[in-house]
Amino acid sequence: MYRWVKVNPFDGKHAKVVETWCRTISTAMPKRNKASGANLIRFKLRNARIPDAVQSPRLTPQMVTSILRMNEEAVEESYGPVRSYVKNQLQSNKPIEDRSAQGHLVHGSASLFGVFDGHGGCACAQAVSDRLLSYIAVAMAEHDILAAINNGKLDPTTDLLQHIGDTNRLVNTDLATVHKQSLANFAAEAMAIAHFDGESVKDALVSAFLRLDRDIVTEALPSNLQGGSMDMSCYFDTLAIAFSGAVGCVAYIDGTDLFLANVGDTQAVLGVHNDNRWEAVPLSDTHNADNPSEVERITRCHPNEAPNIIKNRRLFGELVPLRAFGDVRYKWTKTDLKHLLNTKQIPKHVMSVFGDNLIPHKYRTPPYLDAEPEVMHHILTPKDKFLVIASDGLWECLSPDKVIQLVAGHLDGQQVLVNYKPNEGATLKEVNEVLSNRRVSLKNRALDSNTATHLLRSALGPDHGQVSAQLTLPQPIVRFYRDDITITVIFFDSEYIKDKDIKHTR
Amino acid sequence: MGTAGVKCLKITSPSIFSRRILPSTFRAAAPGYVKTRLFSTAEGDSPSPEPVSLATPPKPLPQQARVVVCGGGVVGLSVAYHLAERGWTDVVVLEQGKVTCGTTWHSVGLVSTMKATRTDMAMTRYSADLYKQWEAEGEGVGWKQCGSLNVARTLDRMIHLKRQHAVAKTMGVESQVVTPAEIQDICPVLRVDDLQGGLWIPGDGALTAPDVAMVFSRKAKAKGVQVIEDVGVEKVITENGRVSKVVTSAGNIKCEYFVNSAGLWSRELGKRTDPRRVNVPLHACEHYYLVTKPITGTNPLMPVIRDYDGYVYFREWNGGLLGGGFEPSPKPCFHQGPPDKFEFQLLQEDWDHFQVLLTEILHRVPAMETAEIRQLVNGPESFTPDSRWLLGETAEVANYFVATGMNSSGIAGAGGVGKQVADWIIDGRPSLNMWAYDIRRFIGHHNNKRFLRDRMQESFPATAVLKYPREEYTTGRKLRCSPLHTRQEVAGAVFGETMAYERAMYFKLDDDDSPENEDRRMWTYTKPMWFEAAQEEYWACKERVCLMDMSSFAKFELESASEEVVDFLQKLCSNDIDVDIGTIVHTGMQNKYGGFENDTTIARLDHNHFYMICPATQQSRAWTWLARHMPQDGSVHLRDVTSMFSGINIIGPHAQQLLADVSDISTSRSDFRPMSCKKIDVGSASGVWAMRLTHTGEDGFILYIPSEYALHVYDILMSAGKDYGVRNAGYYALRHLRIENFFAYWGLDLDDRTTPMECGRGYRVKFDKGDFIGKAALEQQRDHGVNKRFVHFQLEDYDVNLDLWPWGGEPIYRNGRNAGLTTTCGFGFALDSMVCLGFVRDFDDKGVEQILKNSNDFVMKDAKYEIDIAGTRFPAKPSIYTPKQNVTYVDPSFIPAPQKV
Repeated sequence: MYRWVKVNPFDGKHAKVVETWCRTISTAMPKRNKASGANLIRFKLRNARIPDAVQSPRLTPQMVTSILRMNEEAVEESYGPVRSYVKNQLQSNKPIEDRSAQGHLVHGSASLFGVFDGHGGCACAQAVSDRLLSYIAVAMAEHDILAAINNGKLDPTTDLLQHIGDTNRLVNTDLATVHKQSLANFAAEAMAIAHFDGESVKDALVSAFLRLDRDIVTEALPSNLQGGSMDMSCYFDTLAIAFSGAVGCVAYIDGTDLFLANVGDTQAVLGVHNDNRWEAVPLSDTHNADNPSEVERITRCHPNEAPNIIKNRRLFGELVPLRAFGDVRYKWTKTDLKHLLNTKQIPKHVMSVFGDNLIPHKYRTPPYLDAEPEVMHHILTPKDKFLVIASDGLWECLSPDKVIQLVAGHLDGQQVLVNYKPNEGATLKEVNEVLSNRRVSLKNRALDSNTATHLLRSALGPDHGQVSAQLTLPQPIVRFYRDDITITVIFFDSEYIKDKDIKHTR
Repeated sequence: MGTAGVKCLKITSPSIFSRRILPSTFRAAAPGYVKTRLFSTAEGDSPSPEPVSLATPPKPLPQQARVVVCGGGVVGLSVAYHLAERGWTDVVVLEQGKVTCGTTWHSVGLVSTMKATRTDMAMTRYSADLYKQWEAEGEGVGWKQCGSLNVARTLDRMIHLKRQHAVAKTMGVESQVVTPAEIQDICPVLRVDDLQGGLWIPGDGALTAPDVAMVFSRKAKAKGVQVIEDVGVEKVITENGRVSKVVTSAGNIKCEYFVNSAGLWSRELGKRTDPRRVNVPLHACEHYYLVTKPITGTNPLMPVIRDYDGYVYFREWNGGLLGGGFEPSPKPCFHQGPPDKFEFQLLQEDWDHFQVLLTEILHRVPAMETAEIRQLVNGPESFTPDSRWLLGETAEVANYFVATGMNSSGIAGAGGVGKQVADWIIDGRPSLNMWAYDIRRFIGHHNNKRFLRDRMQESFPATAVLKYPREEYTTGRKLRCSPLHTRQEVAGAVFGETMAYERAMYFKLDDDDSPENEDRRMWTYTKPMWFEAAQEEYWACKERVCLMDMSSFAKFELESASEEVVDFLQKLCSNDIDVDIGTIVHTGMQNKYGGFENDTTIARLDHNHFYMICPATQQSRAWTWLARHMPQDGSVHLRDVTSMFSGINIIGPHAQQLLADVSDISTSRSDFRPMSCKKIDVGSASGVWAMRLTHTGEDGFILYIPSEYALHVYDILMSAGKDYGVRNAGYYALRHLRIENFFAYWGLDLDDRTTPMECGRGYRVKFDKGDFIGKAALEQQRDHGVNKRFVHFQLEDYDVNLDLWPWGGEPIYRNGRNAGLTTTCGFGFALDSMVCLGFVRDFDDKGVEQILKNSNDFVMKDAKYEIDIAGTRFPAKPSIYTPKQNVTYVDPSFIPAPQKV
C-alpha cells in the first residue's frame, strides 16, 4: 500500500509474504537497469500447487486485451506542434495511485501534459493532477488576466485552462473551495510581486510547482482546524493530501519550445529520428538515490546528517523519491507534527494510518524534502517525432531506448494500416518503391492500435503467457512485480515544426 | 454486402471493364492483320458498367426442363451450348444476376493449351479450336493468336517445360523449346539474362472472355436453350437420390438433370440440396492483375508471357500491358460464402499484397517501370483442393452434375469442359478420360471450410509454383491418422497424404540427415532422397519380413438376410464371387463399356456376408457405384467400415512364420491358402481378419484389425519379429514391388476407360457365370480385339543415378510412332532396371485408336520401343507378363513349422 514497502523481496521481513504464496523461488534474477537507473526486479515463481502462470495462462487473449485497453485514450486533435496524443494506465495499487492531466492554456497557445505518481495513497496525486496545471496557468498569466481574476471576472480554476481528454476531477465541493481560494491568493500575489513577462517560462513553472506544494503543506496545518476555517471532514481531506505524496512531470509545449518540469522519478524521453536511426533523448533527471547530484544536494543542505537521511537508498530509509509534493512528515517542523498528534479533534486512528512513527527517526532540520522541479528546455526540431512521459512503473520494465524503439516501430506499423492507393500518374517503378518500403513496415503492424497500450503490453510481456501472469498476480504481492504504470505519448507535427523552424531562423 | 469482413467494391468509372469497351477490343482476325483499337476513351467519361443484357427478356419460368444449368458464366453457358449442339435443347440456364457477372467478366482471357496432362491439353485445345473457328466465322470473341511463351528461370522449370513439350508433341500441338536469345527475338521487351530458356507455343492466344460467354449464350439460345437472368436457385430437391426439381426465386422447375456451374457460389449451392447435401469442395481466393495505360511501342501481338518462377504472366491490353500472377501466401476470401449479390464487382485492392508480384513484373518487363497504372484488379476466383476442375456427376445425388472450380483457367477450359459434361450427361460418360477431374475423387472432409481455406495457400499458387512429381501437400495434414501413426513417427516415418489419410511413405535411414545427403532433395525430377530407404525396405520385403500400415484402404461390408447379396455382387463383378466361404477374389466391377468402375478385393466371410477392399483414393467412387446399383427393396446392406478397421500388411518370406508365432493357427500354405481369409486371434486381440495376400505379388498377409486393437497387434508383431529381421516399410517400397511385379492399380493405371481384357486380366472375367454389367462389351473385346494393351517396360541404357526419372505420363514410342503414355513408373530393384508401366495403342495417321486384333503380337512382335523423358528417348524392353526376377527365395514351406504344445 505504501510506496516505501517497495523493497527487495529477498529481505527477511518480506520474504515471508512472498513465501506464503509461492513455496520456492526457483530463479532469482534481480537486474539493475543502468540506463534508467531503476531497479528491474524480475523473478520467476514456481509453485508445486499452483500451475506456472506463464505456461498456463489463466486469462484468454481476449481478456488480456480488454484489460489492457480499459484505460486507453487517444486524442487526434492537432494543436500547435502537437499532432495527437495517446495515453494508458494500468494499476498495481488498489486504488491506483497514478494520475495524469492534459490541457491547453486558454490565453496563449501552450499545451500542458502531466503524469503524476502518488505514494502513500492517491490523495496527493489526485490533488496535484487537479491543481497543478491551473497553478501553471496562473504563473503564466499576464498582468491583465491576473487583474481580471482579482476582480472576479475570471475564475482561475476554470477559465484559464481547457482540460482535454478524460479527467477525474475532485468532487468534494468544500475542498474545491479551499483549493480555489489558495489559487486566487496565488493569483493576487503573482500580480503584486512577479507576474509573467512572457520570457521566463522556467521560473513560472518552478514557482507554480513550489506554490502548489506550499499550499498543500499549509492547508493541512492544524491551525486551520482550530481557526475554524475548515470543517472536520474537509480538514481530514487536506491531511490525507498532505501526508501522502506525489511526484510528477509536466511538459509545457508552445511553438517549438518544449519545457519539461520534473519532480521525482517520473521520466520524459524524446524520440528523435536522426539519419534513419532512432535516438532516445531523456528530458528529465530522476530525483532518487541513484542520482548522485540529488544525494549531494540533500546532504549539502543538511550537513552532518548524511548517514541518517539516506538509508537503504531511501530518504530516512523510507521514501524513494528525493523530491515530492506532500509528504509533510519530511517537511513540517517537529513541533507541528507533535502538535498534530496531540490535537484532540483528530482521533488517534486517523493518524495511525500514516504509521506508528509519524516523526522519522533523527528528524532534526526539516524540511528534508521539497517540490522544486528541475526544468529542461528543448527547442523542437523536425527530427523530434514524439515524447513519452511515464511513471517509473514503465521505466522499471523498459529502458528509454527500448521504449523509443517500440514507439517508432509502432508508428511505422501504423503508417501501413491505411490502405495504400497510388497517386494519379505515378509510374510503376515509383509505386513499387513505396510498396517495398511499406513491406518493411508491415512487419511492425502491432496488435494494439494505441501506442500507449502497445508499450504497456510490451512492458508486461509481450507474450500472452507473461502478460496474463502479470495481470493475474494476487493483490498482496502484485506490488513486488510492478508499480502502477501511466504512459502518455505525445506525437509532434513535423510539418508544423518545420514551418516554425524556418520562421525562427529567419 | 451480406458477408461480414469482406469489402466489396462496386467498380466505378473509369474502369477497364466498361461493357462499351470490352467487346470491341482486339478485333484481331489473323496474325499480321490487327484492328486493335488502342484504348483512347478519355479518362472519366466511360460510364459505370450497365451490363448490356443479351439474355432472354423476362418471361415466365418453364414448368419443367430436361436439364437445368445453374450459373450464367462461361462454363454454364458452354455446357448448355454443347447440350444443344447434341440435340438436347430442353435446357434452362438460370443466372442469379446477369450473364458473366460473377467471375467471367473480369477474366484475363488467356487460352493456353500447354497443360499438365494430355487430357488437359485435349480439352484446352478443343476450346482454342472452337474460339478460333468462331472468330473466323465473325462471331467476335476478340481472339488474337499471339502465341504464348513460357519461360524458365531454373533448370527444373526447364525440365518441366520439356516434359510438357514431349507430351504436346504426341498430340500434334505445335511447340518449340527456345533459348534465351530466341526468347529475346520473339518478345524483345523481356529481360532474358537470367533465363534458362523457354517453350514457345505459337498456336496459343488471348481473347475477350465475356464475349466468349456471349457467343455460347447466343448460339445456345438459337437452338432453343433458355437463358434466364435474375433468377437464383434456392434449392435442389431430390427424390430417391436423384434430382427431381429446382426451387428458384421465381418458381419451381421440374427437371431430370441439374448442372451446378455456380462458380464462387457452387459450394453453397451444393449445401442447398434437399434432402442430401452435395459436397462441392472449393474456396474463393483473391486474384490480382494490373493493367497499365498504353505504353508506346507495345506490340499488339505480343505473346502471352508466363514467367511462373516469378509467379507472373503478361499479355498486351489496349496498347498497355496486363500483368498478373499467382503469388505464394494468397488471400482466401468469402470464407463465409460469397455475398448473394456480387454482380460485376471486385474486391478492395491491396497494393501491399500485390507488391510481390509487382516486383517480379517489373523485373521481367523493365519497360513497365515507367508505365502508369490504369487499374489494379482484385477479382475473386474459385480454387479446388488439388487445383483441378470439378466435373461430373456427384457421389451424393444421381443426375446432379457439377462443372465448376475452374482454378483461374475457366476460359481456356470452358469449351472442353462444356463438351465433356454434355457428353457425360447424354452418354453416361465423357468422351475423354475425366478421371482426374471427376468430383468423386473427393470425400466429405474435403468440403471442410477451414481445410479449404488452408489449402488455398497451396492450390492457388499451384498454377505458377512448380510442383514436382508426387510432391505432397503441406496444408490440411494430419487429419486422418491410423492408430499406428505415432509409433511410425518415432520410427522415422516420412508421411504422405491420400484422401487426408497420413501414410508412411518411407522410414528414414540413420544417415539420411548426414551432411553428404544435404543437397539431396525429397522432390525432384531425378533420383529422390528416399531412394536408398525405399531400397532397404524393398529388400526386407523380398528377403525377410516387413510391416506396412494399410489402414487407409477403403473397406466396405455387404450383407443380406439370405443370398441376395450374392446376386447383387454377381451382377456387378466380372469375376465369379460365388465362392467358398473364406475365399478371396480379385475382381473388377465394370461399366457397360467394360471399363473399371471399381477394382476390388472381395472376401467372402459368410454365405451372406462379404468384405470388400478398395484403394484409398477411390473411397467415394467405389461407394457411389455400389450405392447406385443397390436393389431398391433394401435387401442388401452396405456399410463403409474404413474407419472401423486398421490394416497391417505383413509382407515377405518370413511372414508366414511370424504370424504363426503370434497366433494359434497354422499358417502353412496348405492350411492357410493364398487368397483365403480367416478370423484369428493375434496376441491377446480377437476378431482379426487375416487374408493371405499383400497387393504386391509377394507372399504375406493383411490383417484387418478392429482399430482399437491395432497398436497391440503391431507391438506384438514387432517384438515377435525381432529375430526375423522385421522392420517397417512404407508405400514407396510397396509401389516399387507392385510395379516390378506388374500389378496394375485402379486409380493409377486403371480407370473407367480400361477393361480387364486390356490389362491382362481377362482370366478374371468369368463369361460363363451369368450376366453382369459390361459383359457384352467385354465379349466384344474378347472376340474382336482390344483398344490398348498394358505393358511392362524396362528402360535400357538408363542410369538411375544420373538420368531424369520417369514419373508417369511419359510418351511411349513404338517403332518411332507415338503409342501412348506411361501410367506409373518405379525402379525394379530385383530386375535392376527402371520399370515403366503403360498402355500401348495403335494410332493411325489421324491419331485415332485402332483395334488390336492380336494385342500380344502387336506389342511383342517386330516392335522397338522408346520412352521419352523430357526430350530424351530411352530404349525400352517390353513385356506382357511379369518378367522373371533373379531372386532366390527361401521358400518358407520347406521350413518345419514349430511344434504346438
